[in-house]
Amino acid sequence: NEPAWDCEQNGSGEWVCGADVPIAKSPKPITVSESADAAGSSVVTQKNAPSPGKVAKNPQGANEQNQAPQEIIQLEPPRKIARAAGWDCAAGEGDETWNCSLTGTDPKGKPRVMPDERRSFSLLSPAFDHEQELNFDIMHSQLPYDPWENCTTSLGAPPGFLSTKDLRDETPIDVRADYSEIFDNEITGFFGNVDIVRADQRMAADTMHYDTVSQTLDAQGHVYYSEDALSLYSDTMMLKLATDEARLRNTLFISPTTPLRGSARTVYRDSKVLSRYNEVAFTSCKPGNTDWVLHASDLKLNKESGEGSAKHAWLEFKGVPVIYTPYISFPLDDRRKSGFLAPNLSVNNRNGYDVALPYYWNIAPNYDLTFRPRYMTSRGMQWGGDFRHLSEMTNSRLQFEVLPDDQIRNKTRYLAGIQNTTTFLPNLISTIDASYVSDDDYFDDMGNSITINDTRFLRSHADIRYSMPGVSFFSQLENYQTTDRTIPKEFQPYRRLPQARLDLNHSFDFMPVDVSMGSEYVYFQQDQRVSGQRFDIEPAVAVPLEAAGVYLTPKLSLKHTQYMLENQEVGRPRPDSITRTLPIFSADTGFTLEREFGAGASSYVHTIEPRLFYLYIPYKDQSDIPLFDTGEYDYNFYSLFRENRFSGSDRVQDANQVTMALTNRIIDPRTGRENMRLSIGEIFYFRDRLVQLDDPRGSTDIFGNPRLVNQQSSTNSFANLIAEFSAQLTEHLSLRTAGQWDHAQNDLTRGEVALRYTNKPEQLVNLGYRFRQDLTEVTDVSFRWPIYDNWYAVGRWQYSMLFDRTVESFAGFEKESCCWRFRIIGRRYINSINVFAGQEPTGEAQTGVFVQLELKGLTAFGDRLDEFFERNIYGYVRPQ
Amino acid sequence: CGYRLQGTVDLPDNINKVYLQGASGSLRDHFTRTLRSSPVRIVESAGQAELVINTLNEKLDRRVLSLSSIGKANEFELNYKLEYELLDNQGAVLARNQSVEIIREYYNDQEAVIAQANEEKVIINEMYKQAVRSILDLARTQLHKY
Amino acid sequence: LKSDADQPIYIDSNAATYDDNAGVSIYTGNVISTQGSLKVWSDKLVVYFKDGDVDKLVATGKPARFQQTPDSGGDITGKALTGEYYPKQNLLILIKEAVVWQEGNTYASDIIRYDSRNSIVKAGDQESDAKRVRVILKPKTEK
Repeated sequence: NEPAWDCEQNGSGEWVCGADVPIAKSPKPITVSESADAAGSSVVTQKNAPSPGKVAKNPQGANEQNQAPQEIIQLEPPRKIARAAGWDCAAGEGDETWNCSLTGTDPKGKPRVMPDERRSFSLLSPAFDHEQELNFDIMHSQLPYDPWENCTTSLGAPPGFLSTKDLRDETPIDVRADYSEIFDNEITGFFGNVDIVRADQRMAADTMHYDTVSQTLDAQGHVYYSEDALSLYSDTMMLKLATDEARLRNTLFISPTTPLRGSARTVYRDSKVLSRYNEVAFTSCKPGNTDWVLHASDLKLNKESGEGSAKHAWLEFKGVPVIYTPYISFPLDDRRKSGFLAPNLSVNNRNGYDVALPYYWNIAPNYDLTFRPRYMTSRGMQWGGDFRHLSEMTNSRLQFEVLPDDQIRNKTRYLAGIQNTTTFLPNLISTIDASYVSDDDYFDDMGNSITINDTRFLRSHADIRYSMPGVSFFSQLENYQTTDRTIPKEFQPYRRLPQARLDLNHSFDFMPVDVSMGSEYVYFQQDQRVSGQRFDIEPAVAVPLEAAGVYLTPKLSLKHTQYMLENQEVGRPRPDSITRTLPIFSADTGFTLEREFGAGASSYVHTIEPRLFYLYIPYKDQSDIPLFDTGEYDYNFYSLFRENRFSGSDRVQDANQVTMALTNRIIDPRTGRENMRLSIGEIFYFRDRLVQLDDPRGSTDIFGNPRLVNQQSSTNSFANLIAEFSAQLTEHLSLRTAGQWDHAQNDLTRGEVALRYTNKPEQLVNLGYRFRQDLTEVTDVSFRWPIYDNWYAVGRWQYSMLFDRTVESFAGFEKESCCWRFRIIGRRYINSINVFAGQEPTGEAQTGVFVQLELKGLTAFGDRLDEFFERNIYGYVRPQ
Repeated sequence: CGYRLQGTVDLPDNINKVYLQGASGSLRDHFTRTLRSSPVRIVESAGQAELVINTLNEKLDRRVLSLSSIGKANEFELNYKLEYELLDNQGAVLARNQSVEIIREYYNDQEAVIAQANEEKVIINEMYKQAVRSILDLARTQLHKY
Repeated sequence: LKSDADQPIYIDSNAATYDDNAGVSIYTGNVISTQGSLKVWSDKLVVYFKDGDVDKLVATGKPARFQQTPDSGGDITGKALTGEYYPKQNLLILIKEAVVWQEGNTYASDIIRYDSRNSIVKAGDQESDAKRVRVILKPKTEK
């Protein structure tokens, strides 16, 4: 039982130390207690020694015989306990002179923190008064590294910082003081400007007592203590060096790893990793800044489990009390930890008030459950859960959401999903991703309101993948659930039960020949339309020749496809089995010319890259073949060099054509960066195209918008001219334009211009105009611009001229400060679609306000606006 | 007229073993396929390589470019961003924070969803091919200084 | 040792002078004085007598050294420019560049009082920070 001290300065400034463990040595005044009980130390005195009695002490309780009583050795503490370092001047009596005395080192006029007089509006008295802020500054300067250096919560010491923590046991304790007394080389007392250093531990105090046997250190008066991961200031401090236990009163602390700083009436450090604080107030803001402060009746920080928890906590933001919670827990590092996650509150006209309070339960190191109760005023109570499990081979996740009784649509609505990845071998991996939703409007109504709900299908698939150099095998079962009511049943996508692909490729070392063979088997199923099995095999041989910068790659492949059809459509009879075999020949050739211009720093390299792509495929009638997974590629510069203008295998275009393209680049030779690029390309047809895409859905969708079908007329002798130009105009300004010229219409059928200004992460402006004849015509503006004092204006506006309406718009503000971030936007967007029989469906505009408050180092509340900005504003990077 | 032919892929001739550190499977596949017709080989460890391409950050994002009248996305932008550095086999940095960004746009009215998924696969493959060519071009410029 | 105080004091030096009426004897030239387990090495030693008894010894040297074996614990050694020893009170005061070693711990200050009977070491000056004390306590080796 270690003797431990609890010292308090009472009214008259006299130190009274009670012992809460068996009677132990009281440091001051030295009273030799007669009533030493059995377990405590006893006193041995010398019989007739005239000089002061010798005090032998044996704390381990071994009891020596108790002899004659001992007179008191009166030892007063030094009358004057040293003040804080610096000059201390008082006016001289009468002769108006100053008599100043210097304690500690001469600060030589170093600035000291003056109290911040202009306290902005505040209901509460400042969390830390001027005196405490002064001490925070001193502690801040004593830290081995500055945790608030670049205002980011790095959650950990900077790299390259060596902690000498583990050297504590071997390093001697180095003490300096004005005056010291050592009894029997075991009990030491130090008085006046005491300064102790041991490895990474550093302590300063007015007086200090250290018992070398029990390694207990007891300091009073202006006690500063700092080590790598903690810095403390308190009136009194008791520290057990052996077990790192400590007890402090009226303490200020800084925990640099998070970083957190705060004050507490008493601090108990129970071990190296566990510390308890009560009557605490703390924040992650820089000393001198108390933008947000969390007050709590008591706080527990456990560095081992990485868990912090507080009881009766209330948050003060800018001097205004904001939230009270009986209990809050938060992570000290990035390990997973059970506890309530930040609540999510939002309000919109679909669900009314929407409150969700997720609870994260870290069941075991390899599986956990997030339970998501969510209440919506206009719909009712929804229960959600997210279960995750990890093992060496598998990584799986289960989600479910159920709204038993939706008051608006009065039916049960639910969502269920499973994801799993199993790694049998490093190159043999299977993934499952299946989900089902109870009705089409689920995502519109329930979806997290901030994400643009642009999905029309819910894909579920289970696949397995094996790859080895030269061999890759992929097989899957796939089904789409259509969640968009505007798509009629017969046009919903086919199910692929199963699809299996095997791709082999090999290149010979001694001669430039690459052989490859792609083969695929798919069973397409759809209730309303023709279904069937398709087998497709495509061996190919290519000869990539390259000499002196000129490359020529002839390629010959033979595509053989076989269909076994079933569930024939009544109106459209087809033969039950169809085969199609087509040779495909292509030749890709080109070279690059380059030349240096200018000299020295302003030199640049100009390259001219002509390219020719010849394609020959004979015609074969494929009108009987159903369209399972085939569509027309979007016609752009890169589709000029593809062997087939249709995706999938159900249509192979007949072709006898050559693509001519020319690319010019200006490259900065020092960095290899492309400052300018101009590309022009065109296909010249030597024959009309007979294979067409006869899309059963017709050429326009149900809104009358034309589909992307037969973009090129089949009889023209050359296709649209494509031109692309991009340039880095200045260090921050970049331009990207592209266009397509239709010779027949003698008009531009597609065009886009995008001007992007990015200057460091704060200043972003994107201006864009996109035009596709009859498909879309939109202008798009998005920006993030600093306004004042770390406030930024943020916004995006996309206006569709084809539909004469704004399709997406939001505007708001973002505040970036050292210890908190705040984002707020108002948003107007098209969400649910109401389809009424016989009418053209219209998109109904929604408006909503979204807020996010992030307290760095503690937690974040509200919608995920940071992710939303990253998706909507080009160049916006989510701060980590 | 002062123009001269430039070889398609000619890293400095003292480099013919390259090690990819931290690259994704797809980038690795396309690197192997592109280098097949050149003397440069991909090796399995940094020790054997003369050039190590150390991937720092690799991201392939799909963003909505434009919305239809009913608020459904119909034009998408595929954005592939790769940040990497060139090291020698001792780990010394030959070229610091290099980056390649490839952007493609394509129309996707999300109705013929399987066909458009096939198209997206083809586009992504082309993006990786171009990324590999850009990495090699940039490497050629940087390494020629040595 | 406690018994040192009752032991006679032996002094050995190159030269010695005795001044009867001043009650002072002065020893010079590598003076070695011992009392029981207490030994003092110094360049000069002045002994003051009061009514026949040794009242005070003042040793000076560059530096003067002393060594003693306490009742418990290892030997105590020390050095200082001037050492004043009061045998009756068993009190040794080291002045100016004083350093005391005991069992690996070192105590340094401009004034150190060592009361060998009660084995109390007092260093530094209570009133001002002029005579700073420097103490180095060796780490607790594993018990």
